[in-house]
Amino acid sequence: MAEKIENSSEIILSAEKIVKKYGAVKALNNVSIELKSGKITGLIGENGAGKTTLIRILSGVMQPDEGVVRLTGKSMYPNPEVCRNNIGYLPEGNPLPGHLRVSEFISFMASMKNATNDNINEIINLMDLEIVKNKFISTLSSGFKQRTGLAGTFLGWPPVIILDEPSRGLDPVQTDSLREIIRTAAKKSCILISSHGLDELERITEDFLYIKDGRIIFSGNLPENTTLVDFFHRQNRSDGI
Amino acid sequence: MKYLLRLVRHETGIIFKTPSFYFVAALFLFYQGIIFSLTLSMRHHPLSPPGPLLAPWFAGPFWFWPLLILVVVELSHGAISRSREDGTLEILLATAAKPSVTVWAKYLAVCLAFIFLWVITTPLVLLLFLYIPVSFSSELPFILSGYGGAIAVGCAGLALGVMFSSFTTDTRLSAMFTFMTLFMLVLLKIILHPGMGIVSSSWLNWLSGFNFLDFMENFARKNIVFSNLATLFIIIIVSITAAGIWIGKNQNKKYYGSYISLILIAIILIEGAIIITNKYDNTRSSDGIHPLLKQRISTLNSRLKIYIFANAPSSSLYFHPIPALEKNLQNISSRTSMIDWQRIEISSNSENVLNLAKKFSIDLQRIRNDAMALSEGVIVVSYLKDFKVIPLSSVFMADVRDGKIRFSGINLESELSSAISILVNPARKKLCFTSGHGENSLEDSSPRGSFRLGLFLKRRGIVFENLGPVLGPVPARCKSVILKAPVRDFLKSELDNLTKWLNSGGHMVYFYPENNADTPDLFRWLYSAGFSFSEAGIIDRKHSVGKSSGFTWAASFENIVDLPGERMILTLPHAVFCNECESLISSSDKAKLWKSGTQKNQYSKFSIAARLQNPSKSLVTVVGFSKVWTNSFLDEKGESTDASSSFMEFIIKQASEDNSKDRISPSKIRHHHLTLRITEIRSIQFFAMVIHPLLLVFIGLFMAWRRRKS
Repeated sequence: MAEKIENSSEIILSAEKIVKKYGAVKALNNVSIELKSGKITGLIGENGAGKTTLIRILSGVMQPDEGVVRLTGKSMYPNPEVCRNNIGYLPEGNPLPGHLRVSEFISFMASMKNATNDNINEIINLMDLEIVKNKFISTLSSGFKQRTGLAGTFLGWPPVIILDEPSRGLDPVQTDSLREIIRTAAKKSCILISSHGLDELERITEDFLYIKDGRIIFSGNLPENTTLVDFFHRQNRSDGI
Repeated sequence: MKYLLRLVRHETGIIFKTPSFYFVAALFLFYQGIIFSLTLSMRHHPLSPPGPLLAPWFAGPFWFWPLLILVVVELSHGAISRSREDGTLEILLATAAKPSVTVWAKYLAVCLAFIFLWVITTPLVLLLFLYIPVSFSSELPFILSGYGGAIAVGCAGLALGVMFSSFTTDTRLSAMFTFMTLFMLVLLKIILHPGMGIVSSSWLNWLSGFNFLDFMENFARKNIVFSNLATLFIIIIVSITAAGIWIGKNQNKKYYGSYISLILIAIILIEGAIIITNKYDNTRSSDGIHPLLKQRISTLNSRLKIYIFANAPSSSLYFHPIPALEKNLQNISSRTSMIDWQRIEISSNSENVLNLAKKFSIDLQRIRNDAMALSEGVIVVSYLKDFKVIPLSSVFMADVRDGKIRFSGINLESELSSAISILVNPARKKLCFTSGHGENSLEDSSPRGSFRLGLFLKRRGIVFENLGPVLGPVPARCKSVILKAPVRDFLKSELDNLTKWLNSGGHMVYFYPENNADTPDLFRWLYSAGFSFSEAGIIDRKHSVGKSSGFTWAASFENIVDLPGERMILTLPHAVFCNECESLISSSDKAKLWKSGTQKNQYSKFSIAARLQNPSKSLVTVVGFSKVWTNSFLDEKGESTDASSSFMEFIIKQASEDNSKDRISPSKIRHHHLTLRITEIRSIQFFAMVIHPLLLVFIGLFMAWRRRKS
């Protein structure tokens, strides 16, 4: 059984020299990163750069061909399920079972994450889901669907939260709301967010990982007086794109 | 385990909260209601299949498996593929549960749904027992076993469905793979039929290890076979493990190796289960070979070939004994390499079929015309150059109730054992027919000859020879000496030889000639042995046939258990007088001798065939008539229209110890023949096909309403 870990360690999640191939194509090539507690890290890169592959490996749903993933210093593979209770993962596209009610989905996720009733209520309130909790997920707006997905991710306040494109399909108001939620969550967990919304990402964090062609080519804070959009385009140009 | 239970609860909840599930359940009940009603109707038919009352419901001839396949496909095809398609599987894979646990949970959930579908049919069973006089407690084990079998086979099918569902995101593809696989498994029943041409017994054995229809039939008859259970269990374990490996392949780099290991282990386990079952499974003892037949088979030096010449389908809606006979033969041949059998396609005019028919003196046209295959069908047991023809009428046992025939047993093992005994014994002794005294010759094909009787004997595997006059000692190769209606007298030396023969324990049969015999020495000799004859024939008005005034009458058998209730039509047979004898055939007590003169109106009961067993173990059988076995009274196969052939077979076998029948109890056929009133049947059928499914429709509507309301 997976045990809950405390946010005591500075480096919670790390990956060392990760390699992942799809046939002959190297999706990740010698990727090494470190995620620290209490921090929000943005993961940026073009489509096909390897963001989702890296996120899936860090979330414990895909084993790398080479390299080691450590959660609080312990190797995650080959038994990732032991670690997965300490990771909240929102997959790309926020897949949700539309035939369930919101409350049923949250109850199920809570049972799988050993979350308490207090925690469930806290998350429902945080996500403002009270008014839709008896509705079927398929009938919700995209904003509430996103909140429902995030609720499932945040349940039990895992030490590591990994969000793949959490703001996709949200309007500006919903995006503002999501930002506040993530900031609140960051007080309890280390968060890795992958997003194409560079402006939005820049408002949440100053710490970024830039991935290109399966390699991390930048890691850390942006240079002074540089926006993320400028940085992104500069990086692309410098590589001759 | 904690996560497994939580996932099972979650997945089960999804299924049971979906309104469409109840509509599926309603359709299932409707279909089951139809099958149940058909079963009920069938149980009122005199040719109702043998076996437990509800066996046709759990494993009927053809109708139950389409539903089984469709329901299994419906429940399983989207179990994982749908989650893969909409991405929700990723959520489950990101939880603390292993992928294999997730797959098991989804599988167990669909199993629970499948079990639910069967559980809701129990009111039908309970309702039936309210009406019928059959003991519920005696049927309960069969019912429980039938339910267990349907559920076990269904769960194995669900496992296959879940496995295919894990391989693809396309639910239609998964459904097609599941359907085709299950269809192939039920199709094995047909593929394994001897007519399909698979002759390798090892292939037959191996493939029959996956024959889902036979599995269900076994369960429905409480014949719980270890290899059936093991195969189903292995299919479940292997399929779900394979699905777990597949959906967790991203978390396990070595999944190809796992697959190969899994398949190898599965093959070894299933093969092992089949071998163990064939060798040690005591539950199959009811289908095992009788020790006597086993012993007879052990004497075979070459393969014995059995041919069925019968005009009947291999399977039919109602019970027919031919498939049961074939099953018995398959059972026997699967346990020995020394017996092959095949059903001859009698409608074919192929050279092979015609040659076989000619070789065995089979009249194909007569068999073709016999739609039920019961009066003309035969089994031919062929060994090296000899063969024996066994009429199906002596294999199938039947009783008549309410004017309708019902099969009560199959007497195959006994007939087969006797046939092997006759065909195989190298020291088999012969029937020796005397000649030279005007006897009916076995070579004579004129109306008064006995050529057809010879055919009759050959067809029964009885070996005979023409001994000629008994000028020397009766050869040791003779088991019995037959005096077939001699009309000229025997020499004294011949009679001395016969005396010596009898004193040494020999057997003899004497047939009184059609015309009065000029054989005073022979009669004197017979008299000294205890026999005498009436000069005149016997008239029996009480048993008179037609308007013959008693000249032609139907004789009845006495002391012959093999021929109960059969009759033989005779014209003026001669009375056989013998004080010490056992009478075999007699007239009524209102018979009299024709031209008896002074005792014109004195009626009496006369014996017309008798036998005498002496202390020296000799056996003399004397028959007061012989005309019925001439060519003009027998057909081309040597058979008679009355019981003459049967009686001849009886006395020949009595006269020849080696030819005596092996006594093996026939396999009993247990029938249920219901006699419900039509109103009772209608009410049960109305409940089964209308009320019961409608209840589920209402539940489905309620669930839909709740869903819509929210």
